[in-house]
Amino acid sequence: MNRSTCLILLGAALSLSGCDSSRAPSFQLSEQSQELSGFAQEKVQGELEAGFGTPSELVVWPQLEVDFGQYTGTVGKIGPRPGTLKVGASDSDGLSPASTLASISRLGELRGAAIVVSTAQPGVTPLESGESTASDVGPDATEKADVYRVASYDVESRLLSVVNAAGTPAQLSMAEGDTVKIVGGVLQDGRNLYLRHCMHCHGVSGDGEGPTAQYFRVRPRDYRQGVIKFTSTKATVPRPSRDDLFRIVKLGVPGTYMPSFMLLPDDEVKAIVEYVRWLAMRGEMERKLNAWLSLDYSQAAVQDTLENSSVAEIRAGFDEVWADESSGNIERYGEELQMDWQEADKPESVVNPILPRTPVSSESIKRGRDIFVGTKAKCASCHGETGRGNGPSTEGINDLPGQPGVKADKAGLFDIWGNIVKPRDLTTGVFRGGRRPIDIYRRVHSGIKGTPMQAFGTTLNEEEIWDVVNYVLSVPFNDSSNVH
Amino acid sequence: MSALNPAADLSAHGHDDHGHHEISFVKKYIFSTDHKMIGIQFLLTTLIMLLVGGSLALGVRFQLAWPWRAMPVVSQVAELVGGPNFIAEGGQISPEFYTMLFTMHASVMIFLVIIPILAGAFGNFLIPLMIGADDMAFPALNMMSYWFMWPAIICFGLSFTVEGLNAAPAQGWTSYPVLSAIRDSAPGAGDAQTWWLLGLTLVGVSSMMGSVNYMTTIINMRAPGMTLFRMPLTIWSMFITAILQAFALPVLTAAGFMLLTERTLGFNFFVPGGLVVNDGDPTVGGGQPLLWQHLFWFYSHPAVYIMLLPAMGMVSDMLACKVRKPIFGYKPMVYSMAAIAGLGFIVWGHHMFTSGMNPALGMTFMISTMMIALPSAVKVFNWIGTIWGGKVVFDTVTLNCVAFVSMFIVGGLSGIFMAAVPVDIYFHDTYFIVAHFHYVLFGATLFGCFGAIHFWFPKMFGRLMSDRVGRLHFTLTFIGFNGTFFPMHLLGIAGFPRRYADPYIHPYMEHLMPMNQFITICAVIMGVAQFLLIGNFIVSIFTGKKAGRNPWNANGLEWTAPSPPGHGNFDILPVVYRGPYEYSSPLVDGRDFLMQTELLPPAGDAGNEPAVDS
Amino acid sequence: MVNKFWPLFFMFWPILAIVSFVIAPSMDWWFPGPAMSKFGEQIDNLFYLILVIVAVTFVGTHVALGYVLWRGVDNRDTKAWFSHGSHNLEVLWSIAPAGILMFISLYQLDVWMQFRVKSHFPEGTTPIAEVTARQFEWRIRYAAPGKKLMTTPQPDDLYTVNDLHVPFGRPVSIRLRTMDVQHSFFVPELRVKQDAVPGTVIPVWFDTMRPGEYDLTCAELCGWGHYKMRGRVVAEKESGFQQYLLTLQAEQNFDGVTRPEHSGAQIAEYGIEDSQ
Repeated sequence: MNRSTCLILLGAALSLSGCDSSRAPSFQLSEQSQELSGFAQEKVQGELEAGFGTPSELVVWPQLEVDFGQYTGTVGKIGPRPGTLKVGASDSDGLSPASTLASISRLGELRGAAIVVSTAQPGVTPLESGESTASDVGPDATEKADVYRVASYDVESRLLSVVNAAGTPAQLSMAEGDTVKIVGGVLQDGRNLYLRHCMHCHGVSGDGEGPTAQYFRVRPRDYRQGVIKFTSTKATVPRPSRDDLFRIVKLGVPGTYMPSFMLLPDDEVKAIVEYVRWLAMRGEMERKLNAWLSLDYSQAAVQDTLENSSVAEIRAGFDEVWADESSGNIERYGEELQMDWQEADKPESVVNPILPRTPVSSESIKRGRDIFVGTKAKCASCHGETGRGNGPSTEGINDLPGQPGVKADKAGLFDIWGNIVKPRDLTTGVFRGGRRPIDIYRRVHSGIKGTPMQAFGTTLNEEEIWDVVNYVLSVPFNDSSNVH
Repeated sequence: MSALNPAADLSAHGHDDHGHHEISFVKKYIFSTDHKMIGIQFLLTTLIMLLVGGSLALGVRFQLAWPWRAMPVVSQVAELVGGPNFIAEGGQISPEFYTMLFTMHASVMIFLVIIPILAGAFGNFLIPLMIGADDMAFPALNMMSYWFMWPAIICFGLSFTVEGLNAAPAQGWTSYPVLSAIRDSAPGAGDAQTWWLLGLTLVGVSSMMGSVNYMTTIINMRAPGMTLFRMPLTIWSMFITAILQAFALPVLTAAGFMLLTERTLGFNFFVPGGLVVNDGDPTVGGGQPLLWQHLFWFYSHPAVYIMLLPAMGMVSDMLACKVRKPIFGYKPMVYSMAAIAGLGFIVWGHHMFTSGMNPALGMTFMISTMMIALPSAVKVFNWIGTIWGGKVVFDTVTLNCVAFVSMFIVGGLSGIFMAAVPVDIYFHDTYFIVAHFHYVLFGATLFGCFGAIHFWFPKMFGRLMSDRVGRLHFTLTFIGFNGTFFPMHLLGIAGFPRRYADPYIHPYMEHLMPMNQFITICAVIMGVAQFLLIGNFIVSIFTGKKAGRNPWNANGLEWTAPSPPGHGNFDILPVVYRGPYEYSSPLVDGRDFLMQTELLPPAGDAGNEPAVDS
Repeated sequence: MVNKFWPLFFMFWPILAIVSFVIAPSMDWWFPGPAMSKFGEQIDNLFYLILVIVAVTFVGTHVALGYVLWRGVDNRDTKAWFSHGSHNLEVLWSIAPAGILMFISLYQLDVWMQFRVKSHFPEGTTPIAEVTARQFEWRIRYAAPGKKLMTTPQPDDLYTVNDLHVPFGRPVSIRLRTMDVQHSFFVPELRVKQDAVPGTVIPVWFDTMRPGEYDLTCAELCGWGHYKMRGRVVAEKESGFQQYLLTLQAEQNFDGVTRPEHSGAQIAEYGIEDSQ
């Protein structure tokens, strides 16, 4: 895939004064990275910067063969000034998806943006062939594709100005009818939108530690483990699909501070989703590097080793290890990321029942109720006999999620982000992952990822799950007296 | 010439039977009980607070013009302090910080600038001098009223820092519950809000001490011959303001305590049951959020007049002196101020037309609100009448006074839109409101105060402020002011709501960004211009031209005292023979003023009314 | 004529002010479009009535102010006009404004009654949705198609967020409430605004004259995300509205097997995995 190439996307500087890099949003190292000893930290930071860049200069890791979207259009007129061209042959077609670009250029943020790739022959798209490698797109591009950077794009007049790598207006070697692609443009739009709509809670780095987040009882999602709670994917699929993310952004998470962004145009939401996926991958890459290095090169580990060896020796050892293993490891990490995230988008990863929902009846609700309080699923142990979310385990010491046998040091139920979670109070009728039967079905079937809400897809059969769904949906309308 | 007229006896400086007993520095300048020093202390404090409040406003403006850009100063400070906030975001502010900016801007401007500069600074300084008293009735109480300001300022300051640099109160200066009552409802609704409420209470205590003092002093300590209807309009306005404060303030204090107990002791006045805020447990209780609005506005609407009437009074005095003409319709002026004060108590509901209160109340409040425009109109006509046929010389004082009248007309007229309930349905909580109250509180009150600073500065420090700098300050402020606030009417008509950190996510407001940028540039001009005032003020204290006792050839009692007046104010206890506005009187030749203390030779009876009512 | 500078200065800015108001509509600094409801038109008419009265007063007072200043700087007499005022003038300029103000306020009462007093609501105004504001979104509850909106949630109620659909051409009302703090339901194009008060349900009625999308915003400070409460009111034909409810119903009962009927763009926005 051509987009596996290393794309440097110069963002419009967010500071008023132009390109003052100290006044631009920046990614912060995670806590685990900060526990690494200085030299290892440096490497991690360097690797992350090389692979992902900064918020104002996005880079896509070469090992990450993931499609983050692009805009396409055809070349209309060349000119009037050097390095400018009109996109679209007729008045109606500009770059698509147009609405996204429209909103972006309203913010004035496509300046210095992405890379334009044009093909010399209409219809032939060599970069799509999947054969080309990084060297194809670079300053010394092949004859078939020229690479420029976007200087500006005006939606109204559809006038695109491009510059070459040096920043001067480019000599255009394209003709009317050629294809123009803005690769990475979607990601960049996503970045802009994210920084405007999402960053205050989720943080620039996607760590859920934005400035506003400190006031929330329910913490904003930290993407850096790649885990999202409410997904349509199977329990065995660790990542959310694009559709899941899209749905969350559009509808919000009721009962939390995550509001609905229903009225953002679909294109904009999709761009945000791409950027969130990218941020999550960045965070995962950091975690993977940490997992590799922290055993031997965390500050504590180095402190221990210092008893038998000097700093210089440790340092030299580290350099050797890094030189030997880093490129291989990083390549592997990239492949893992790519596989995990691609899997989530496969149709077979989505939980879809074969049987339709059992019609609502008092019998079905009764059966669901029996499962709910029964020993097979033990729903009541967390959600409580009456579904108020006050079951006995909320007051006991439990295993940490994902680490069987490791007890928490406090009473309560924990998620993998270290927060205490309250089991849903079903009587309120507020369902964070959605209120459709299929949503509840999926919750029961594959659990809530990262939390003690288990997947019951293997314990319960479809009919049983539907009975539970019917019961759960009936709880808000029951007097507790009816239940007992 | 009578010996009772000190103006005729300027050499009498050393002759001083009150005696200048030496007092220590601390007693003279810090814990002073002298009303003049207290007034000057108030003035300096409020001028500093004016800069603080102005900077906060510029923060608000910056965000509205260039949302989410690195905010100047704030971003640098964040970098310097190395605090966790704003660094990772590249120096841009967060939305809750924006809510804190406008909350504290309003709080500082209202409670620490406008109210204390009028009542505290000018009230203190002028009341004894203008009525011929040697000091306030309760000098120690007076001192305390100043020193209660500082705990208030400290509380407001603490509210900024008590939860980290990023958590000042963020509920708006109106602090509507439930937002302000539940600690989790918003950033800054925690301890910061508690400190803010304490600060508010202390400001109230300070004002209350002042108001008791002013009423007592004005009623009891007038010089012989100073009948009520010979009092300058400044004194009338201070008197009426003091009454307003005395009756309205307890309500706010009570409301503040109710909110405080609700927040800290678990009382329940304002929060109804069953609310789920910040995903916490549902609230329990049976409070009523509208109760706060009623109590708050029962104080805060009269407070608008507390923030306006003294300026009206001072402008009347300055204008009469500057155009060398008696005030046009002295008694109507007094009556209209009294009417404003009286009606001011029954119009609070116009802040609540869309709040969901009983619609029948909306109608009554509309009628009373419309009626309060009437005395205001009468005053405007009288000011224009005062200038009519006068001899106008445009110095700084005149300019500020005329600007006061002009701006007050705009502020008053825009108020009519809001007084009309159906139209207010649309305008409520839009920038139209913001424009309106800035025209009243800044356009009228602050221009009045700028004039007053220049006018009474010679009496405070014995020297004149530079008129050239004063006029430059006026011009820049006036242009900046109108450039800032006039377009806000249009923003309001376009449906631009108040208190939005990023209004441009709503498509129908996107095209208003350039106008907001224009507004911000004007606001910066206006802000920078205030340094001219501060500079002029400080430099003139030391190098200004020496002023005699009566540099403006004015009539009031204060101009018979030395500049600055010594301890006890007057060389000789003044005796008053006439009202303060006998400018251009045909009774005297060769000059166009006739001081209140001058006893004319008995050629014509008309000029000398009996010195004492008997 | 140096001494005329300041009188001109004080006359110049009102001219600028007037000019800015005159050009404002053409510069798009005016209402966000004409009122889209009959009720809004009434508000607009009242606004323009007051605007005219106010403009006349503004011009009048400023001409007077400019005139007296102009004459004042020219005054070469040794003394100013010694006058303490005129009783007749005071009476005149007390009574005239009083009459005008009384007229304005009485003239407004009808519209206000109609908007807020329940017994004066237009006939046939029935609640079609419950709008619950919360930090920072509008949660909307409809009754199932063909059913009446009940005050308490029903199992077959339909839910959506930030997107209020109403039939156009007739007055409709919503039950406005809030889940947490105060909010205000503000639709600028319809000229409707009403605070949502904790602990209270407030009926708000409005009509829409034309089908279309109208922005819905919050106009009462509700916390740090006050500005984020972007919603819309979509006015459509009665049949379209019913169809919308059906779509919503199908979508909401989606069980992953029985495919809801697709109609219109709504569904694509609402549940995109179904359109794969």
